[in-house]
Amino acid sequence: MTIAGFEGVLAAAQEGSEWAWDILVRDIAPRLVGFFRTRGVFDPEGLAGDVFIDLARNLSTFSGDESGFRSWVFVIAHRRMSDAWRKQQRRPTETPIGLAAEPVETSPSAENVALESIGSEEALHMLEILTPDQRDVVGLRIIAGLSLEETATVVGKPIGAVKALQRRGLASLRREIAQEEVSR
Amino acid sequence: MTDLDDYLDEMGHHEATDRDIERLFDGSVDEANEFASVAGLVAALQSEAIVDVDEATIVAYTQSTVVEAANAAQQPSADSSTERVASTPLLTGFRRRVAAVAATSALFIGSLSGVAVAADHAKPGDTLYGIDRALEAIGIGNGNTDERLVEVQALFDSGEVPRGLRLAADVVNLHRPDNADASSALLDAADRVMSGGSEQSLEARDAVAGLLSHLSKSGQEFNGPKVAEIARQIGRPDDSSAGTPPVDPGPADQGQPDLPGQSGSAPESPTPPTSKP
Repeated sequence: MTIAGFEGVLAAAQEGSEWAWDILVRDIAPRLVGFFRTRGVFDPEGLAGDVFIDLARNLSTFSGDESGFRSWVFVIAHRRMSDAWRKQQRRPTETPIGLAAEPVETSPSAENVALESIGSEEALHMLEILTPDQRDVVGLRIIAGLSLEETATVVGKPIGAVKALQRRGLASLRREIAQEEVSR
Repeated sequence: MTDLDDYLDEMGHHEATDRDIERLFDGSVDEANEFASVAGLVAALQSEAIVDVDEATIVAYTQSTVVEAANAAQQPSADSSTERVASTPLLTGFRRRVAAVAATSALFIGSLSGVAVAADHAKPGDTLYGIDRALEAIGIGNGNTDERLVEVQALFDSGEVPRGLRLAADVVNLHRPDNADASSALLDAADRVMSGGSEQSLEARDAVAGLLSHLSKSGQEFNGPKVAEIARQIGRPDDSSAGTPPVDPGPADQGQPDLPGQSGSAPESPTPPTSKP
């Protein structure tokens, strides 16, 4: 979850080195696209491309450590997403593009206590019960891998509020899973 | 959170602590965790199907960032960079497209530098054309107006009028970003010709001859309002002059200043980030 020699990579990317950008892109892109997918963005790859263009244009102005960099990236991503929704003037309801519908293996310890297997489509569908703020926090924490502090920076809320959103979101998901199990 | 979490763990408290939630997220949750039943969902959300990005897309991202970073480095300051982005909205989509083509092709061809010479002679539609444009964007190769106009002409000659008009819009946008009205009019013309079918396309081909003539004569000092005016005549349903090339304004129009405040709407208008955290 960390980039080896981040300072050097960042400096090289700021100089325009392709190898450095390659490292940054490979680290960021899956989290970015995954986050957009969990938030129901219609074209997650396309929006991620816009974010990378923004990063390229503004990387020279960034200074900070890797944690600050991740926060900065997702602040831009969050704004991009909000802008896209404002332009569409609707909340996202489309199924994200390019998802595999195959079930996903869970860890042995989890298999005894959770649903035996949850497909990616089903998982994304479950997130729809969350409020937008809860979905932001859950996506940033689980998919983007951000810390509480980094997530708080991205969503512009105090850490305490992020913790509350996280807990309420997980509680809602737990109830949803319980209902699913009962209905099976 | 450590002391409290340790105490609650020792006391067998089953309400999830912050540490429990962290364990849930990193896949090491135990059954006593309040949110243990959510573990399968977390695993599904972290699965390859959610976070997978194919190699071609990764390479395209990398190439487009390198091109864009090089372009941004030529700007005198971050503020002017932001201003430039807002005033040349077409470049983003254009550069992303050519970078994607260049990246994909480079995967198979190998050394980018070895491709540069061959790519410089590529024409629209050629495999190497995307690389040609991407390299030009970072200052390698010709990429001047004359080369672009030859490519526009090649597209018109092969009957690909809408593509030719879009390339002409790129030429206008690249060399005169203050003429958004002209580039926008050219894109609108491309859409009209596209929706009008092949017959319309043939008529438009004749009509755009005047446009090409004007651009060829005036080079980078073309008259933006005049280009917009000509473009608006192309592909119009009630265009009685279709098939009759507009009169070229000639040398007298060359170098005339564009009208202030002309800013047509562009099809793509990214909102740049305003500040860092």
